[in-house]
Amino acid sequence: MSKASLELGGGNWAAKDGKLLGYAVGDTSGKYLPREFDFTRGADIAATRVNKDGLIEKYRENLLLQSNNFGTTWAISNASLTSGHAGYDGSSDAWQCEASGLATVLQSVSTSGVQTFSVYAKAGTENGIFLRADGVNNPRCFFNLDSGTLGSILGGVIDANIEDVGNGWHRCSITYSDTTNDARIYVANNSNGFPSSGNIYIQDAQLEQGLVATDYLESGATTGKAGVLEDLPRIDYTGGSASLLLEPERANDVENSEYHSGSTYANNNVSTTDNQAISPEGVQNAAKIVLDSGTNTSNGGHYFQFGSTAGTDYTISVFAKAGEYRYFTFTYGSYSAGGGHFDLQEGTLLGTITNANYSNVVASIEDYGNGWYRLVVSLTDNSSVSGRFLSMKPSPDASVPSNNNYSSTGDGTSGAYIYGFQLEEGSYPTSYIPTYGVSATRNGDDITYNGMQSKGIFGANAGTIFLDIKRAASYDNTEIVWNFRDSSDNDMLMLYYEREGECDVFRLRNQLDTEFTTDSFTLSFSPKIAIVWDGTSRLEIFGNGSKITKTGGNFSSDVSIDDMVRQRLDRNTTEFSQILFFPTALTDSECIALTTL
Amino acid sequence: MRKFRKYAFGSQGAATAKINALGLDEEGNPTHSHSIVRLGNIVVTKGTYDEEGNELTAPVLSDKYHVDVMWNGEPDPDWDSQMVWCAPMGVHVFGSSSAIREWVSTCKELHPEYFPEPTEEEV
Repeated sequence: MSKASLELGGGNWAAKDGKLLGYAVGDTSGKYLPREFDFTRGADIAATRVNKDGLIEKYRENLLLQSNNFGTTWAISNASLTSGHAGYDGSSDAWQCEASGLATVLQSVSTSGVQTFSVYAKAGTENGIFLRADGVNNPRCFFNLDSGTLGSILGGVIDANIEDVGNGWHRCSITYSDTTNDARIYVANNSNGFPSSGNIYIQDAQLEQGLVATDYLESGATTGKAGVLEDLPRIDYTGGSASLLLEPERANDVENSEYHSGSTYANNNVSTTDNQAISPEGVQNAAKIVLDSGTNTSNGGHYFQFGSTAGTDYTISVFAKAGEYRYFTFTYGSYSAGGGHFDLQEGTLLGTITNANYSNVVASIEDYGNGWYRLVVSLTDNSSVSGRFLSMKPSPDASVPSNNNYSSTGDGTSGAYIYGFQLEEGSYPTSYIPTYGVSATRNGDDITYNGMQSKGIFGANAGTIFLDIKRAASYDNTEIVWNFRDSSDNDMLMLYYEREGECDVFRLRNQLDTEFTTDSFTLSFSPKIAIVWDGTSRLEIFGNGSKITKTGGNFSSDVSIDDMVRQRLDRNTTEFSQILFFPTALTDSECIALTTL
Repeated sequence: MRKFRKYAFGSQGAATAKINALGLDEEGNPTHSHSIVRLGNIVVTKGTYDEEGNELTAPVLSDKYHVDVMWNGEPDPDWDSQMVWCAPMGVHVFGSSSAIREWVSTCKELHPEYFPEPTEEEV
């Protein structure tokens, strides 16, 4: 078999500067040379992936500028700051803040939603620090740097923390949901007051979205960023192996996917507390749902309301982990519910809840490691209802009633953990879209590669395409995966998924709109596909080790493929383990060998 | 640079006409590279419900048809007369930090009333 002219993935996925890297064989050395694919998505905050460590990875940004240069950008009042002091990290990058009155170090920054403001601090001649953000509620908190304890907490703070990081240093943080104009650091004492003199040490300030302070990101003239950046291809490790994740545009219609104690949600016979456990993200931002004490018959639980539209497909999902209680009910709708009863210890679906108000109810559970599972309920809502309840409720008992309205006996302290609630319009779930006070749309992933002829990827009128598909969510008709075009942007090959009855059929079209795949070919969960053409009369398609070309296929002999594009934002999710391009038409036996599972 | 803006139309039909004018192919697929989310007649005042989900008071819906656009470049000036602004909480946005920052910054410039003034005395 000839060597591939271009390879993507196959254990060698890579991205650089917003480009997806494929690899081509070098002309003389035989070494693989990187080839850059253009990749666009236009979303960072709303995009996540599962990284190599099996953790959900988000976009992170330190919204402050000059995050450890308090000599610029920051407004100083009644204080003098000097740099070059021993820091918490062994550096000499800490700053001494000497008060001469009510000492304030302030940076103007307009932000909104759930945010965490943090700074490393150490006692000097004074032994307290006060953090504040100016907004509707002015969230603020005193920290005692001697004892490493919290002082007065005011102004709607969701959470406050002081973490001992050694050598007298602490990382102090406040978390709040507000529209704010600035972030402020004050010199304080250890009794919730402000000294008129004395000093403390500060280093590495950070303001970020979300419920917890994450690893520090240095900001300079521009903000520090990390994680899933805008237009960065997502190499996803869900299930352990790497694949290129291409998803359609989707929105999480829930305004706060992680902050469960605010007004986004309501509770019926349960209570919720944020930041109670390590989430699938690997940080302490999972909430706990606790059943109220006593025996309660209720279909409520912890719930979110929204207005549904008749005939629309909806998918709700949440990550859940057993606490003292291992059983969990996750439902769409109130006492006329669709959804599932789950066992969070065994990772099993105990029973699906159906109701005449909904069609196509599917409940499922997926393992995300460390005891976490993603619970998913997909259905079609048959009615327009202004206040659909989406409910979560832990239970000590493995009851599987036909509804969510069952009796549970709680003790007021026991429950289960949740993280990352999502409501999408669509018949299947997509990757987690975090939200921090506003519902958010993650734009679709687009990948293009131009100039394939000049780069020798395909022959003038011949070539082979091999696709190793890890997962394809194919539930709608005529979803275009890719268009292969000539240099004049005429469509040459269009790769389709279609669902016909119970079979997912992979089809290939040319400009004559001829379908080339046998109707009986069923797309397995992880199919391997090869398409080959030789510029004469041969156009064949192979799937899972068999030739699946439909008799009567037609094909122009002047096909010359130059560009690869995805042309619509509403195509379905596809995950590729590997993509290979060959400059020649492989033989039937080579294609069969290549696609054999 | 992508830019995020919010719009309100008198009717769904008016919004659709404006969206279609951005370009459609013969199969009705958009030929432009902007992202558009139809929010519809959004809830202005939330309804209230009892613990079983029964409606106590109906939600109040906007009489306008709302559309969010992530422009791939500058916003189309033909849409300016339908552009609307609001406080950046509890609304819908596209998930791009740079676009959201630009939108919040412009919103604050045009409508400072949506952003609370610092209260210097209180600490």
